[in-house]
Amino acid sequence: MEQSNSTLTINRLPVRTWNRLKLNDATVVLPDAVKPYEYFEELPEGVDRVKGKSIGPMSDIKIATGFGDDLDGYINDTGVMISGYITEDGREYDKPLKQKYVYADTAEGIINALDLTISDGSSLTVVQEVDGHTSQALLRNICRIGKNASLTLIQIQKLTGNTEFYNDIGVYAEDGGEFNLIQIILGAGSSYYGLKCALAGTGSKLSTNIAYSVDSDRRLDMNYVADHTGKRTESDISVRGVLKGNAKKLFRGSIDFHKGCAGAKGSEIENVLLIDDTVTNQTIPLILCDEEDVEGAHGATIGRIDESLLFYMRSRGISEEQAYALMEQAQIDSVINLIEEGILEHESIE
Amino acid sequence: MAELLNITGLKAGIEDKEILHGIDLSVGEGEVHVLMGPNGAGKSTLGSVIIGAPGYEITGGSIIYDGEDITGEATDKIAKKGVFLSFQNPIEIPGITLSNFIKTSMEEITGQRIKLWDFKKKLEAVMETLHMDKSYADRDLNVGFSGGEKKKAEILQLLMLRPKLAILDETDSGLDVDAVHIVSEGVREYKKQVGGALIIITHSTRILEALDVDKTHILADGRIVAEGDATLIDKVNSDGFEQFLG
Amino acid sequence: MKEKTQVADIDRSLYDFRFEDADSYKVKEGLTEDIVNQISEEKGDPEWMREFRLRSLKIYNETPVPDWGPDLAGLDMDNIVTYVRPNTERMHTSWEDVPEDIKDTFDRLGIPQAERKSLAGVGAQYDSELVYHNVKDEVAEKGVIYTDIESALKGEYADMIRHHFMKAVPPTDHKFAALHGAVWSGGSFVYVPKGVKLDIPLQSYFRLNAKGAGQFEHTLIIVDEDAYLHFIEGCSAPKYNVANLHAGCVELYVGKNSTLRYSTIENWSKNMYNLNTKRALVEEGGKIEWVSGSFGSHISYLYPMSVLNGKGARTEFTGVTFAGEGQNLDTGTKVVHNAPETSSYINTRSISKSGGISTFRSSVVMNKDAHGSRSAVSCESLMVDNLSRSDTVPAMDIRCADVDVGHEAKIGRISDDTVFYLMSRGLSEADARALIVRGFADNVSKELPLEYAVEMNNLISLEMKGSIG
Repeated sequence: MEQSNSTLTINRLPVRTWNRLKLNDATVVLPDAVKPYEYFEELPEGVDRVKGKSIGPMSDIKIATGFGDDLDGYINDTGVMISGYITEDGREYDKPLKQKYVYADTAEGIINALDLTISDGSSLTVVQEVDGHTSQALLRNICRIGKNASLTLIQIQKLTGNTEFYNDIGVYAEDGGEFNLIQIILGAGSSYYGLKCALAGTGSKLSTNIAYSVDSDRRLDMNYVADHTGKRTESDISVRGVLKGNAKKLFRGSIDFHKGCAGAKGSEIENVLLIDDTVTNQTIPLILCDEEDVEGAHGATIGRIDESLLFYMRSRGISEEQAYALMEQAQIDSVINLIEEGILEHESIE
Repeated sequence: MAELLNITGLKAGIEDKEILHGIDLSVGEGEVHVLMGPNGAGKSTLGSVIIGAPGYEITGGSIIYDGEDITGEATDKIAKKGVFLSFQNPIEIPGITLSNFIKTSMEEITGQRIKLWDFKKKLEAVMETLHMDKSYADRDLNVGFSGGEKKKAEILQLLMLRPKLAILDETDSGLDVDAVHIVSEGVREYKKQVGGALIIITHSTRILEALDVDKTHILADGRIVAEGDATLIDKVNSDGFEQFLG
Repeated sequence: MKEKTQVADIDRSLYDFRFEDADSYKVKEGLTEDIVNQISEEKGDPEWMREFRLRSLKIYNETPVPDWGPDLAGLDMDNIVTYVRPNTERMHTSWEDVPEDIKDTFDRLGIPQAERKSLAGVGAQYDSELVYHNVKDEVAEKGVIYTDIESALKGEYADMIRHHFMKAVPPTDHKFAALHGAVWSGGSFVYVPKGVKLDIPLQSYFRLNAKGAGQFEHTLIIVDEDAYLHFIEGCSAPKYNVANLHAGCVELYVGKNSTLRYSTIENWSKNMYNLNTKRALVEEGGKIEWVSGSFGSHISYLYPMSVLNGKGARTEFTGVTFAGEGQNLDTGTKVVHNAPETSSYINTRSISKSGGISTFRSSVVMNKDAHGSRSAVSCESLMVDNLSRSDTVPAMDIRCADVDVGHEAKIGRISDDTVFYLMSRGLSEADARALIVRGFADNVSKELPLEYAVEMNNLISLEMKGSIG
């Protein structure tokens, strides 16, 4: 049977730069025949789930994602069913909403498209674990965060084999809304990660803590954008990773201060530990600024272990070789350690 | 007492700038030495050079430790021989917990596997003497620690690693009175339990309150300009360093 | 209550004066094979150069306009005059012989005065040709060559030129490099022999006087082993209401264990499209130091590039960009680490004011052989008011594990606390803000010879003047 595909351009840098660096975007080919994958779910009492649409007062807001418009069009064309979730106003959920996707090879491509509404004043943690292997799988989360509401999204990806994995997020936060993202990226043959967070409401906040480990011939392509439009909004994008073997990684991170976001603050940092000379690390951290009254900063440290850190470890009897082994694990653990105890079964992050 | 450390004619510096212009220093086993001097005298440089810090070049002299020439030796090798440096600005290491770090370090230095249960018990006991909350054991090393907690974490390592020679580089600076008291209690505990030698680099005397000082050295402009017993500390305190300068 | 900042036109009379076209000859507007042949004939090119020009023109026609960076729609090549020969028969070695109006221009810009005081040699270009060139005797005696590139092309150094010309920046590099290859004219050739260390700088000054014209000078500098040179480049033009174009090309070859410092204070008028290409190839143990102040032009694309080919080669880039009203200045630098233990140190400041747009754009590439290399990039941006824009677009591509790459960037505004502190010591708000901006740009002014630092500070003060309501 002939399989038809769509060619999409995703993960576009908000401002282009030299084409020969090949950083501006990613071109991907996705199958037209797709269906949602059946996942295990623990739904906390009081979170409402509705098949087929987004729900609640924010459902009409158009939300852009890190992958961009091409993907939106593609998802619409596939006609895949969206799963809508909504919390109750003002309710703080103790129990997380847990989802586990264990892919086993399927004939069609996989798309799971979620639409989460965190109603005013409520707070929820969502845990998504992705495991197994297949040819292509896409997970998309649209997150609508109401006034003074808070969503913590924890995503752990341990796909095996040559799985092509697409993880896309779009967020819109109203006044005082908070979005916290924790991502642990450990597997898949090639992964694409996108996030766009519209900090539209006054005082809304984005915080991300991301750890990746890429080895052998795997690749990872990332695009994270904090869109500051609201006053006194804050973003903090923090990324740590390890590259080994023939790994290829591209991280795009942008803080975009739009006119009117007075009092906004944004910071972004990537720390990459390079193990082998055969790796390719590309990093492009942008600050775009159309507003005077802001503070923005970004940084990147790439390469071997920092000299003063290595000296400290050696002064405690730890050899250079051992220090590298420790730091490789530490890059990932530093983010895992942020996840509250009891939220993950311990085995899930081994 | 048998000699533990013997430094002769030590010259060292960074790039093309010499900082230490010929230092002689002898420390016997279990002795307590205090190193004082004005800012920029080279006190921290001396501590760093002994333990083989990168970026420093030794241009003359030798460092003999426990009968072995360790001049220019790799830092981890020197540490394994039992030399400990407490850092003025301890490094933050995200992703490695305080307890994991100390356990790894102990295993490297002793060359032996340590049972987790024994280790935990011992660590908790020592943390208690330092008035450190137990939760710090599972926190990433120095990440988000206050200045005082960082210094306590250094003393905790001192007590766990049990070196034969400990160099404390301004471990008391920037701490409030209570924290200095706890740190100096920790140093006294080290003296009592391990009986190792100490080189204490300090600006103040508060950290010395519970110690018997054997010898005091005044370092100025990369040279030792005066030496004496504990009474020299009082002289510095009352009259400053001026009296020792050229 | 704090007044919002107001914008006043700055006084550019220092640079804006102009004379009626003094040219004796110019080609028609636009770009065709005929025009390129005409330029080549007019200049008496050797045959290989004529072919090179035509090949470049072909590349130009086949290469698209960049799809990134500031909009170039306002630049219509059909309206640009690519070659304007000033009304003087040949290049002069004495100011006395330079035609009065041209000499007057450079007098007003202070070039002959600076030459007497603090320079080892001076070249002055007016429109498409060099009109003055001179080096001090003691410099010439050391074997230093400083001449216009046309005579070098025909003289003793013909082979050296042919060997190096557009080899660091090939016409295929980008559209405007191809344009340069096709219509280049004027510029300087410098050769510093082995072991020669020049302790006073050489300077070239480029003045584009003709309306609607382009300037395409070529600067080729070869610093042999164990040598030192400081080269200063200045440029300006009067303002017209039509677009002018500057697409010069600077190629620098830094030999083993040599250092070349290349300083530029660029102050083109605000109708200028400054699409200049500068590149240095650095051998083992050599060092290129870029000092770059970008103040003028309507649109700039300017990224001096360092290619570190030899072990231990180094680059330092110190830059400041000030984008005022009507300006879109896209500046930065590129570094390629091709050898072990190479290092790059980049320190830039950008200032945006009165609706100006400044973009810091960079790329640091470390290839497989860059073992033990280091790179540190630090860029800071200052938003002077709420009408302006500032972007930071730094790229890193690292393909070697044993390296140390650091990058940091900051953006912010003038702190009210600092203004308040200075005002409490008696400064007016305008003076306080100007002082803060000058201080912000001191990474560059500290690196410049005194007279140029003073000129730069004056430029900043001019730009800041009248900015308070």
